[in-house]
Amino acid sequence: MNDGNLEQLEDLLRELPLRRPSPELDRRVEATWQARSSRPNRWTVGAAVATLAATAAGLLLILTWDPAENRVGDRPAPVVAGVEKPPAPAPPEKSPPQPIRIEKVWTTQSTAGVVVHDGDVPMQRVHQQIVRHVRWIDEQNHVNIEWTIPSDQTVLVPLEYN
Amino acid sequence: MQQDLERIYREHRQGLFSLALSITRCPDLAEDAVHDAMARLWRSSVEPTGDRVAYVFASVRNAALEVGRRRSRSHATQLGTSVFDPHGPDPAESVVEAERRQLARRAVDALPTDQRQVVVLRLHVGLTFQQIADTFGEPLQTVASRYRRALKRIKDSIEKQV
Repeated sequence: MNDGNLEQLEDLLRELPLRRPSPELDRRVEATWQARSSRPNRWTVGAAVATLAATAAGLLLILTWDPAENRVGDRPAPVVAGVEKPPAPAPPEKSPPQPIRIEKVWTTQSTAGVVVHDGDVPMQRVHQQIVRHVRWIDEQNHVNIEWTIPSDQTVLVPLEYN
Repeated sequence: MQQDLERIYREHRQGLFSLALSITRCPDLAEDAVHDAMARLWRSSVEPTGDRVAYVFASVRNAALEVGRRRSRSHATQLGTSVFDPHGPDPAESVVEAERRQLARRAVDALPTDQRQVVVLRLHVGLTFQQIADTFGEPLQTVASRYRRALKRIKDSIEKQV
């Protein structure tokens, strides 16, 4: 087969019109891209969970930190979540002691299976239990008020498999 | 990658579909393959290092091969569809010319799948041999030889029937 014949044959083949895809293909592709863009992928879900966990840990640390234990002359005590420390004795001051508020939050989180609704994206069930304990102490008036608020919720987190 | 993907899809939509059709021989399955590949690429976090056009064509080719493997009986009636436009010959062209085109169409459709893909990618999509080699993941010389064998086969087929 010489080059002349080859070029003629290539020209002939190039002129053959191709079968066209249906307009439905564009609609499907664009719809999928749009849906994927608006849905968090597994990395963003992971980042969100990590951020949430870090925020909860930070919150727990802040709420359980008692500034009284860092005063000069006080013996520093370890901060243990879930164990309430007695309020530090007020320093000898001329002004009357102000009421203090102590709040503690315990959070536990566990997975509770995967659910799929009508063939949609699988969703991970995450069970969260939160216990919030708040205590007000007014030493001047000898008033001690405390309350505990338990809460329980299940959230669905979309799963992405690549 | 997502911006590039949109651009490549817009520019090569016809070629991507034709490549998939040359493998699946079924328009519905070809569209499924293109759609699947676009969805996967959209959510992929992999940044291709080589030619991105070839990368997208390679993804569609893999998807078409995969779709072809799990083709269902429901598509059996559509299998064997030509990659070329099914509409009749141009009224302006001569009978001889129309016959020659018809023979060329049949000869391309009768090629082995790998040869048909190379012909479509080279002549109808306009990819370079290097891009086709990247799409196939094969050496450039292998792809070029396959192309020449395909043309010879088409030429022999046409001459045999004229």
